[in-house]
Amino acid sequence: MSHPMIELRRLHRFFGTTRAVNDVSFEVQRGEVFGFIGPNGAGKTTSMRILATLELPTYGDAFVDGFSCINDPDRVRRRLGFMPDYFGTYTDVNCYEYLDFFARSYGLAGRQRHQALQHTMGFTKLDELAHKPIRGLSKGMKQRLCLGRAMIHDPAVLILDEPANGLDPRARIELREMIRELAANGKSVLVSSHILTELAEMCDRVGIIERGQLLAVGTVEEIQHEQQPHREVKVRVLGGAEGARAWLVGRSDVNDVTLVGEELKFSHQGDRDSEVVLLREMILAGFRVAEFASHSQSLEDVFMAVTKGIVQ
Amino acid sequence: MTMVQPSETQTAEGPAAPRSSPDFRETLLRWGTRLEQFLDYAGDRLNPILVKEARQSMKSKQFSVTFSLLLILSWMWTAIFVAFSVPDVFYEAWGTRLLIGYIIILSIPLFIVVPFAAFRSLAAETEDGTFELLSITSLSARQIVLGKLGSAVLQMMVYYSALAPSIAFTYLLKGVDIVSIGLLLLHTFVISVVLSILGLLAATITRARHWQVLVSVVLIAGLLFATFLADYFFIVMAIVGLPFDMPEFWMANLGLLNFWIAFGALFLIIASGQISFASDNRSTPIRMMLLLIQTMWIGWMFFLWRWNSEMYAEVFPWMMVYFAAIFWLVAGALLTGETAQLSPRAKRNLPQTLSGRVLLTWFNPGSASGYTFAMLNLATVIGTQFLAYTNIALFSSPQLQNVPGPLHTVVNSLLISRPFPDDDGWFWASLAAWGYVAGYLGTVRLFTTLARKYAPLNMLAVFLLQLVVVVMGAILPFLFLTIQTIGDPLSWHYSELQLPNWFWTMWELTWPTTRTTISPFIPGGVFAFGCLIFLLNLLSAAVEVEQVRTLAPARVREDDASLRPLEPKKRKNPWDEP
Ligand SMILES: Nc1ncnc2c1ncn2[C@@H]1O[C@H](COP(=O)(O)OP(=O)(O)O)[C@@H](O)[C@H]1O
Ligand SMILES: [Mg+2]
Repeated sequence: MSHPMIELRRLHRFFGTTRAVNDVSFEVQRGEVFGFIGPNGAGKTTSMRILATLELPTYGDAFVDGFSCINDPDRVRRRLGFMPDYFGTYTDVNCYEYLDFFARSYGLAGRQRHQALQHTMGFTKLDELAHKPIRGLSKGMKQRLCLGRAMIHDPAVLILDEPANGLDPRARIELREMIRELAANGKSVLVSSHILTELAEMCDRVGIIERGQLLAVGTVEEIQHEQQPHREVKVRVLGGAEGARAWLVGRSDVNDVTLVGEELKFSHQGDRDSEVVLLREMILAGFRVAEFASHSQSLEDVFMAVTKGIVQ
Repeated sequence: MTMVQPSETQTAEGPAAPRSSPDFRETLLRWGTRLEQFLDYAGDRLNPILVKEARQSMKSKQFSVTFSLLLILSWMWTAIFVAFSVPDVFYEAWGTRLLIGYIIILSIPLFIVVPFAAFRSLAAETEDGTFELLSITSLSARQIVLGKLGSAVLQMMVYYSALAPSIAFTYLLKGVDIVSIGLLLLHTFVISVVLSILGLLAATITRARHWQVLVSVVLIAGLLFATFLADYFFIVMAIVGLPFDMPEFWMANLGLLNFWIAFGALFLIIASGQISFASDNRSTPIRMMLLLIQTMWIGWMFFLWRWNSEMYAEVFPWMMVYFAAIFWLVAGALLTGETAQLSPRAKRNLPQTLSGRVLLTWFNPGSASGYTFAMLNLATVIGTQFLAYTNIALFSSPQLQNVPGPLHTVVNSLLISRPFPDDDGWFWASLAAWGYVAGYLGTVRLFTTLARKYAPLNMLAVFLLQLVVVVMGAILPFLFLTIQTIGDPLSWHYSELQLPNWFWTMWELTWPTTRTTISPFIPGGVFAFGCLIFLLNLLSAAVEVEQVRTLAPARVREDDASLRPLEPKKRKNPWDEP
């Protein structure tokens, strides 16, 4: 009975000779936010559209709450909210009418519909904008309205295609908070972006995709570690830095030691725990360590390393 | 008790305004709330698209412009008419002319604006990306199309009501009666609905922008032409006068309405099939509708035949088969374009019993089953007719005339004492007609089945190919003969060389001239060729027939079980077990 809320199983989608999605598999559990990251043209939108039952895969299948997106689109649709990378709207409609229309289209009636509208407009902070024509909305308001439309029928799974694209920092933070809140309420969220840092803080796990292939899946730390098993360490030793350098060069887990003034820089192979061990051993060896700092590659570097910068 | 509270507090607070009695306001408020609740409730039953578009159209410019233009035009027409016909209008039966003028004015919004608006409204959904958002809601494709049609009907109603006073006024004049008004309104309404359905269908043909432009040009031209035809027809009827006392008039009315409604429903089903999800079974409903249309056609032909045998006996056998042949040629050209893939989803509802499989397999999606379906249906038409004739021959024999009991009455009332056509020309012609449809459709189908192994051919491509081959089949032998006999016009006549030329051959079979006598070998040969092609296709149909029902996945059955107490499983097709 336990199945992932979202599952891509060997998903392929070809457009002529373009392999937009080429054998992608991953799972998203209940209450999890999964970030789907890749440069433009990587195949994020195509995968998401297959999940949203807008397109059929060439091979493989996608499942939402255990239902096949190919064979049971109606059951999938009841459980899924999709926010595409475009803003589909009608002329001569205001925010309330827009949401009301989609609430009706999802079969909500009477009190149920009123409650859904109230909750959604409250959640996305659209209350004051209810009777504003859609045409006059800012980008941030439009994104909130789109999110509102996607969640109006209280789906268990939300698929958001580049929701933060073009938002100002404040709107971006608001969006992140909304997504975290949705996850806290048990929704599974698949969210895409071409910027890793944008998603790093809000996602439980991420998948990095390029040229239709999934290159890495896991938490951001896992991927970082996988990409860079050694971390850069900076140590300031008061007096006797030369000796420290010699001591370090003698170790097998330390490479590329450079010394500038009192500051030693080197790369250390191992995790954070082994760094603690290294620091203790330095101190026990009598070096006067005044500063010990380590950092891994920046997210951007990791992203660049994983995707190798091949952009279609 | 709580209801009274507010009014009490109000009086306690201070001197309430004396003119608004609190009790009265209370009742008003209560009724207001009740009305609102009722409207809410009623609105919930309505198609959401209808609700949305009613809201939108109140704010749209196109609507108010058309509405005002309609009013202005009708006033102008009234003024012109009155200016030129007073005082004669009070003595002569000129009211009809005024009425026809209004109907012609009305035909512009009804036959052009509304259908085109329906087309644009569905096309705009795809262009603006809202169609995708809509298609993943709980709304079915059928509901989307019906919602659009509903808002078209709503607009029609508004236009009708704009002209209602004027039309009512013509009733006061001489020469106009309530029956004519009713008939005119009914026909304009039905035509407008069918044209709107065609507009919706046109919007589903293509999603590519440049093709969409072409489609809209063709649609506008078609609508203009249809409006011209209809208005022309109305004018002629107004001049000739409506022959209320002729039963043929009422039958023609009924037949026309039947025709509009049947084909309107067919186009509606096709349109919603076009926009439904790719793994849905789009074919079965279309085929059931085709079968229904054929049944109605047979029914009409038999009715006319029984009703006035002298007049129709000669035409009836030919007409019944020829129209059916054209119908199944066009329908078959579409059906053979279907891809033979049965989605796993469609497989869950396949027939299981032997009889179910024999009878119902031909309703399944697929090109071979579609071809077989068309050919079996055409054979049914011919067979029905053949049976009818042999029955007459049988029952006309004196011994059988006095078969007692209800069976005889039924058969008697239907068949006996209808004149039997003198010659059996229609029989040979029917065989040839079947042979041509089977031969042409089947040959192209075999070819496209092969071609599909190398290149994807969509339904439209196959349809166009079918039509081109059929037309070329008639034109090429004709051209060949013409070129061959240049300078020798005397030898320009029908010969066996014209066998692929279905048009000429059928013509010769229908109106045999003494100049060319056609041997039975010609229709017989065509029929034999058709049978051969049919059998070849049947062999390739084996793949589609082989398909058996597959069990729905466990997760689906589990979901069904959890839903069952709430929503009883609906039968989606005739062989679906309840
Ligand atoms: N309808 C289509 N027809 C042809 N090629 C397409 C279509 N949709 C997407 N593609 C191609 O598939 C690849 C993946 O596109 P997409 O999924 O939109 O990438 P992303 O969303 O990651 O930017 C791109 O090379 C794109 O050109
Ligand atoms: Mg994209």
